[in-house]
Amino acid sequence: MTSSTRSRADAPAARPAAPDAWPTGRRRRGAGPGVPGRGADARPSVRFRVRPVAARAFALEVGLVALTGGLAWTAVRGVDAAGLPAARIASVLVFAGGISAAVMIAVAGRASGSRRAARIAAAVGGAALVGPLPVALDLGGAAGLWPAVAVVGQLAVVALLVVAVRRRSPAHRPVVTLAAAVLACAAALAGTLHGLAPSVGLPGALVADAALAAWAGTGAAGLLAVGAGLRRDRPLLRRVGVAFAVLAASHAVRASGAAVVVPVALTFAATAALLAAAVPFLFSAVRGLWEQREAYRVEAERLRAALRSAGSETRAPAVAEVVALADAVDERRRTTRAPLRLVAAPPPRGEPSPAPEGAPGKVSRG
Amino acid sequence: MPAVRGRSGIVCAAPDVVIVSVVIFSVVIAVRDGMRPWVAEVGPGR
Repeated sequence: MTSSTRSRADAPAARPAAPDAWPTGRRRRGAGPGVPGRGADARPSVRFRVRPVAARAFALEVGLVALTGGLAWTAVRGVDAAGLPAARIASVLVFAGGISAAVMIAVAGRASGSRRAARIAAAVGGAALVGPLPVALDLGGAAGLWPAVAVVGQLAVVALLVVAVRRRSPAHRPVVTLAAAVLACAAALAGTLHGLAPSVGLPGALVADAALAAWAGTGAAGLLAVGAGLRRDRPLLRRVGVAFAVLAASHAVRASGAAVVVPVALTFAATAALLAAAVPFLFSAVRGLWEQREAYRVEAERLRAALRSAGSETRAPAVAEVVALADAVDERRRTTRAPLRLVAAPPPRGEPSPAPEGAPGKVSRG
Repeated sequence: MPAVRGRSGIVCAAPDVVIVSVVIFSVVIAVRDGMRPWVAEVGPGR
């Protein structure tokens, strides 16, 4: 029994519909030789092993973020010295960058079927909504429950980020919907209260401390995302984690009452990290789709060649159908999964195969 | 870190996040309160 389960565990964990050579958009979870930290023996352990590639890439990313922060600091100082509203301009830019990063991550996650990317995109979008948007709209002195709405949104962002980092989070958990619903309820409540009793509000010190706690949670979630991304060599997790940690650091600097230039520069650096996560992720997702299409095309070509060599003079209706389906795959229609199932399907039991001996069976085995 | 269930039945889904955020919160509060006299003397910036 042990040997049978062992051999099953050692088998490649590919999807049944796709041969091993096909890119399925996911990394294999099986025991890969030569990949430390991802083997079957390393999964249950909590040892923190980082591949040198990931460590080098992380060092490069941190250096680039620091460089961006320095450049942004110089620019923001110049803008501030010129008498322009630096914080508001920066918040507009950061909002635009954050929303575009969220859209890119969401599209790429949708294309590659990644649940984690969808949650990360929701977290980034939520952070852009509750962070720079009120500053951009100049709602800084908003009364009532609006600051509490920002805190609630920040907590939702933390929850989304944590769920995205978790290794095994159930697919049916509607985190994104739940976070959006909570945020919408909080906004509706704040709006209603603001309309009914504009003077009612929470004490400012309490809200500030709650916001600080929520931002501390954001920083913690970002650092843990950095750790998880380093350990599993996931650039998206790593860079988004760096971005959230830098955002939390910017809020901490702002809370400590220093000049306005440093936090604004830090937000710029965080936006740069977000874009550095989103743009390559989008490109790699598009490339993955392209590779998959090429693999299907090559497979269709091979299938057709096998059918031709099986004998074209006695072509049975089933074989003709398979040829038509292979042509359809080659035409890049949306029947990419159908020929595989058709080819792999055994002939009806009890009936003799209409094709000459060996032709469909040979084809279905490849 | 896996989820933790307390004696009262409350489940904490991410205890590591809670621990790290409490640490960050304390550090930020300490730095803020430590900087307060300095900021009052130098000025809060713009």
